[in-house]
Amino acid sequence: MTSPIIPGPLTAGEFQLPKLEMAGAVVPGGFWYRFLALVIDSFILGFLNAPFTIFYYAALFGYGYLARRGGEFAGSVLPIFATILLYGASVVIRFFYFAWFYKNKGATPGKMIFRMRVINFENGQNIGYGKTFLREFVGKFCSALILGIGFLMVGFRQDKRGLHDLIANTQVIRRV
Amino acid sequence: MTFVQNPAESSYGSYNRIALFEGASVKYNPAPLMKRIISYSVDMAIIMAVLYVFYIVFFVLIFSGAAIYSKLFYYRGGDFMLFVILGLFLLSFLLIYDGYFIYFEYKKGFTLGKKLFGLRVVALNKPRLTLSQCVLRDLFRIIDCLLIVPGLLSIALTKKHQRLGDLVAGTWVVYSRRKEAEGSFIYVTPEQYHLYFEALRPAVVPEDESQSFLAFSHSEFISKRGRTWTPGEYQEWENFVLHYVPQAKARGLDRNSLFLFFAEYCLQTVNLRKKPPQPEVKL
Repeated sequence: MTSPIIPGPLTAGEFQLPKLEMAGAVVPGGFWYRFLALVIDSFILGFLNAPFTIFYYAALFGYGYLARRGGEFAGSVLPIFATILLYGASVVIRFFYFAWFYKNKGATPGKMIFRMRVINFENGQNIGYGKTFLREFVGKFCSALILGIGFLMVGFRQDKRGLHDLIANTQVIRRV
Repeated sequence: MTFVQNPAESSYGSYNRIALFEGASVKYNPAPLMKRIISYSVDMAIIMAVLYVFYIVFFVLIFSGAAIYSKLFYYRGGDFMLFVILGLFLLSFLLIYDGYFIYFEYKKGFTLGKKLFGLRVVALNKPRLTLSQCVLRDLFRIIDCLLIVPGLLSIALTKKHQRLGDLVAGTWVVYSRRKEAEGSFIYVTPEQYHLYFEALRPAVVPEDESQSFLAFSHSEFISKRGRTWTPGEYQEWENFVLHYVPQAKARGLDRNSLFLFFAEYCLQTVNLRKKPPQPEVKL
């Protein structure tokens, strides 16, 4: 039984293939698109951090309750330990979130929404774990260190690369 | 009984129409749990981002209004102003949160977050979702996503991975790997790519060779800087591509189309470290 609306496998010479053009233009990703993408990524990271945040505040409240009753808990390192754990966990989650998405999908969900991708500036391929570390941690730290001028460079440069892009030798592109 | 779907016509909707036409049931894949969680958090992030802007405007309006009309609210007595503000906040949250999900699921069958990961909401016995189904799903989202445990349990226990809202509304969430890959196309559109892929059936390319071709196509089509290529080198690249796509010669393809298609093929197979998206054989 064959269906009238589903054609069988295509065979060579059955029809002329249409001529291909580049699907839309590919332009450098602009400042505000990237800003919005980062906002959305931050919210998602907030959700992923939620278990640790809940643990953090539970630990702090518990400590406060016990410390007020005095005793051996009063001078404990629990709050310091919980804070280190929270920051450590958020950094690790942040790294694997960015690295996994950059390596396997080419973009984080926030960037995907605006049809953007982060690529290696040399050959246009997805970046891996090493370049993600350079871009997201070393590069963005440097960008923030000089009063955020590294981020503002995105808006003023012709190829829309910020300091963190220059350090990791990457580029953000957007399909129009 | 196997059919290869026409690659030019590739949407979930067409599967559904075929199913109704044939009187057969459609075989979808249930959505993986992790993809549902991440797509939900993407949706929530979008809603939060919208609410963030909304609340800033709201704060300015409320407090400037409060400064002018504070005496009015004071004479109504007590904490009337506080209740009004809290009520408006809650109302605006519910309006945007529920409105977002209901609108997108009714209009398109997927929200923005679901679209990124190739998910779609499908009715069990109907060609398309009705408005009441969308509203029911949305109402039960409070139980499923806020209390988490009942939703997870029901997803784990039901055969079609339905949460409580899905069970009540008679819907389920389906996943298509091909749809998920569509967001990552750069050089050609997914429709064009599948059409070419069906017709040409390219051979498997070793990873290093395909990376060198990607570097070439990046300089040729995207960055448009750096070295320029001589006609001889273009010919070499064309021979390189024809080695893996032998059928292209018989089709009489021009060089530009061939390069664009092969670049997308390399991108989909090697850069994303996946098999090329095959047409999904259904029924």
